[in-house]
Amino acid sequence: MTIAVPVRRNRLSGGVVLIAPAIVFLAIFFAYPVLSMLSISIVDRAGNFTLQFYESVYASRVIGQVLVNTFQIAASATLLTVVCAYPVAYYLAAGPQTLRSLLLVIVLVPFWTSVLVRAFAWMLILGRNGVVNSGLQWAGVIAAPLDLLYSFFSTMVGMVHALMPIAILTMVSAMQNIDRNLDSAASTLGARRGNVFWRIYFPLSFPGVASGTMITFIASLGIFVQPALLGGPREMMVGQLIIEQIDQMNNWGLAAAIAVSMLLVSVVVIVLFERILGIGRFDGIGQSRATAGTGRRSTLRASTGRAISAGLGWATDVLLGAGRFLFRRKAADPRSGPGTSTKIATFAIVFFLVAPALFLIPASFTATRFLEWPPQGFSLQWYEAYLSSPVWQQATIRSIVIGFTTACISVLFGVPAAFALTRFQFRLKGMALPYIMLPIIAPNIIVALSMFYFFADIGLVGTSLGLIIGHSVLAIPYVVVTMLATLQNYDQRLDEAAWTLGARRLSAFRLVTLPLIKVGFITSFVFAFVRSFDELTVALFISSGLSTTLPKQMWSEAYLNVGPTLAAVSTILIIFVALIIVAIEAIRNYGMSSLKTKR
Amino acid sequence: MLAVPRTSIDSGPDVHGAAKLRVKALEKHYGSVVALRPTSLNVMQGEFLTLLGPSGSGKTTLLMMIAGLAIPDGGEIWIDGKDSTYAAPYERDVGVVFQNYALFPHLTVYENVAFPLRMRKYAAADIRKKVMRMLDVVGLPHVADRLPRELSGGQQQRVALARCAVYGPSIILMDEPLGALDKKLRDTMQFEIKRMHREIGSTTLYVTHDQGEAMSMSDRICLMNNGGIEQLGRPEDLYFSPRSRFAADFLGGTNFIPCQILGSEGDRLRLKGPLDVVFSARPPLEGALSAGSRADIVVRPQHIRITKVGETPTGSLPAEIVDRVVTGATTEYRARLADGTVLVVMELTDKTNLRVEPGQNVMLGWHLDNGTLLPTEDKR
Ligand SMILES: Nc1ncnc2c1ncn2[C@@H]1O[C@H](COP(=O)(O)OP(=O)(O)OP(=O)(O)O)[C@@H](O)[C@H]1O
Ligand SMILES: [Mg+2]
Repeated sequence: MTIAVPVRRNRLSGGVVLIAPAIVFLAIFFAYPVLSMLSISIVDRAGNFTLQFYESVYASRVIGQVLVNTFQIAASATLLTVVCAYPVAYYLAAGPQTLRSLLLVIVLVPFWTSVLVRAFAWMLILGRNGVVNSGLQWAGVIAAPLDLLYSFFSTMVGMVHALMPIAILTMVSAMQNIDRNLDSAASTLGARRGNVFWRIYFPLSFPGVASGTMITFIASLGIFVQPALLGGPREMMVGQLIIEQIDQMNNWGLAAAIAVSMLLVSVVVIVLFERILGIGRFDGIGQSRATAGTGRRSTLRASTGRAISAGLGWATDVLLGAGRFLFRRKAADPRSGPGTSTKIATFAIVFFLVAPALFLIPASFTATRFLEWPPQGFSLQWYEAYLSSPVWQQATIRSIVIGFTTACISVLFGVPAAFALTRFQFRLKGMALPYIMLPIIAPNIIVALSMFYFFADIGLVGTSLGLIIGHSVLAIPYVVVTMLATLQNYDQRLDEAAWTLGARRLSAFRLVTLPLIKVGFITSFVFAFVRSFDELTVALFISSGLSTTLPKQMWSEAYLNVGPTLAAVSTILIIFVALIIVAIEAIRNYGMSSLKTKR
Repeated sequence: MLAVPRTSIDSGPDVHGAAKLRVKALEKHYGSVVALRPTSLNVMQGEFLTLLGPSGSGKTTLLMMIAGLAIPDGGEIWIDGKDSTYAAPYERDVGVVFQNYALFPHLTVYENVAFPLRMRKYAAADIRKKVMRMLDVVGLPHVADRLPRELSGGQQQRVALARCAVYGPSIILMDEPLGALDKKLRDTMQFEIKRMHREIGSTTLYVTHDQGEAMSMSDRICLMNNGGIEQLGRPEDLYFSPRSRFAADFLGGTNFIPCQILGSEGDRLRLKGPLDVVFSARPPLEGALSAGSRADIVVRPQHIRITKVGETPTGSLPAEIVDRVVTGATTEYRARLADGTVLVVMELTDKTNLRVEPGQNVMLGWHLDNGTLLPTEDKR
């Protein structure tokens, strides 16, 4: 039963009190700015209603082309990302326990490594003097270096690399809830491995795949770092176009109109996607939720889904059978989860995720002035350059201070909200979580643009406070999600037990609740910090020339020259993030073992 | 054993000075669901009272409001003559043993048991003495340094009991504390709980939906149904004098034989049963039955005797055995009367009664003292 606050006739729900600060904060600094930014697309300078900006969007061939490009690139990148992410997610959710946590850490490292660092890494790998070209030349495969960089190919590689961690994590979280006993049940019912996977596991994992696809697609729409650094002019995407309109033309109306068009088209795509595939309705899952009106269609969809599953299942079994016949191997235990091919694919993809950034480390010690492979000589001059430059120093310190403050604020707003969502009943509770998640679901570029527009009005542009608020908007959702996961596993009866044993509410919280949620609390704090520390989009708009953050300084530097200094900064960042992740893991483990050895 | 005064539910609160806990017209709704209808109940000092009832009958709701973990929508809770309706849980001197134990996973067994003492600021030496004594009582001094998850289910259960009893709360509430245990462990634990109750003498409210557990442990049973009290009394009262069809059926299962009152005959009532056979039976505890009204005779399966056709005196019913199941120590028969009524009969399993075969025609009879009358209820 739900616990009521044992206070005399407390009619104002405690839940509302706890969640209101987060809701109001996001309403002021997220919802209102986005809505008002969207409205300027239909208002001219004099304040009258106009469609002129939309007319120019549709009249301009350039803008039209960029929009088409954006959707093509985003769709291809999403497809590739999801296909590659699936085996890794499958392995992480269902693979052997021992490797799982290590693998998870490895997937997390690129997730928390700055997108900029990862783009630089691909520039080093694919450049004319890069890893691939010099390797192939050394091997004698090619005579002259290939033009790999600034192409559709390099954009795609960079984007898949950038998007994959989020796709993997989304799918894993859905797959972890799949009951592994179902596999055993299916195999006792006579299904072989291929059928077990395609008829049982895959359909069950489909909701995870669908939400992974959505999140990846939305993220890829607003991406601009990869196409800007790794693509050519033909790979220009909407994000770059919007930045250009603001930065160079100062044309707010047009930028807003482009942003709205992009939002509309992505909403249409999402709705179509839902209609055709039916999120969470593949193979009849969630059919109970289907309304009577759509009954026939969803049955059709379900039976189509089932037919496809069945076909793939038999095909896999035939192939596996043929393979066993050829290699004279024993049939594998159908319950044993991912097989050898999944394992190989997983390790290949994880290598693709982690390896590129590692090339930056040796490249940062080069004695020459260029980013090249193999690095020439050895010197520490680029680290000296970084450490002795006041611009870099200040940017770093500012990033750390802003990150720390952001983390404090996000925890302050996010943790009570998570408590409200797990422990209290209040009206409209069902809408609260989607609302809080909006800032990380909406394309980043639109969030940043709206904040810029709003902050310009109230004089927050170029201030640290503006940045902190902007970053908090993006970090609060992460805090809430992390704390929700922690609190949902927390047995509320423990608090009730403490109260009946004589603990007052505060001591019960201090002695029972806090020690048990400590790890989740620290983790969410660190997530919020790293989220702010790495953030580029908002910083790009809101921090002005003098008060830049580290990512913004890296971005400006990259426009001048992608050289060894950037490799040195990247190396420091990689080590920094790796240390943080290791620290979190250590805290987790310590948390577990301290539970064991107390007293 | 403490003497247990017997009271009815509705007796005025001021008459009984010894009432430890008084619940007056307490009610609780969840939206449109009525979890507890206005309910009144007095529990005496040192009494062991069991709340028994089917799932959803409001047992947990009542318990949680007494513990202060849920706010009533109306009514009052008096503990030791003090209005505690809205007192915080930690102000009530009430101990709760939760169904899933709710042991603190990050604290050792010792620390778990010490927790309520630390909350009450006992001196360290005192705490040590009390905790170790309590762990001795539950037979677990050797696991003091382990974490709850390193214990078996039954051991965790005993730690939960120890944690609740160590500070001697004057009222102990237990919500299906044995629900998660297997049959054998349940039996042992029932015994231990009774023993602890005797040693500590706390007033105890115990929730279960196992009628055997309720019968064997309680001073009184409070039978609940549909968010209200159906009947409250000593186990044998509930068993032999159920006040309603529900009470008769819930405790032990029973047969209902429809009949019509003919008139009285000494302290018994004469009535006409199925197939126009004439019986006599004890009148119901409350409510007079006038001649001509309809009623049910309540007879427990084990009180019905099977005899051969022609061997039995008057007041027996001819029936055909339709089914026979040997369940172990007892054998259950289903017998159908000519008018279609099916009665359940239970006998001790015994070589000689195996001769009664399905399909056979027999006579069914019972000692007249074992039949109770209930007015026929309107069909719910
Ligand atoms: N938090 C709640 N929200 C809504 N309804 C509730 C809540 N808690 C209990 N109820 C309803 O109140 C009624 C009584 O519930 P209660 O938990 O007291 O039953 P119970 O007798 O303890 O049952 P069980 O033996 O299954 O534990 C039920 O109909 C239940 O559905
Ligand atoms: Mg209950």
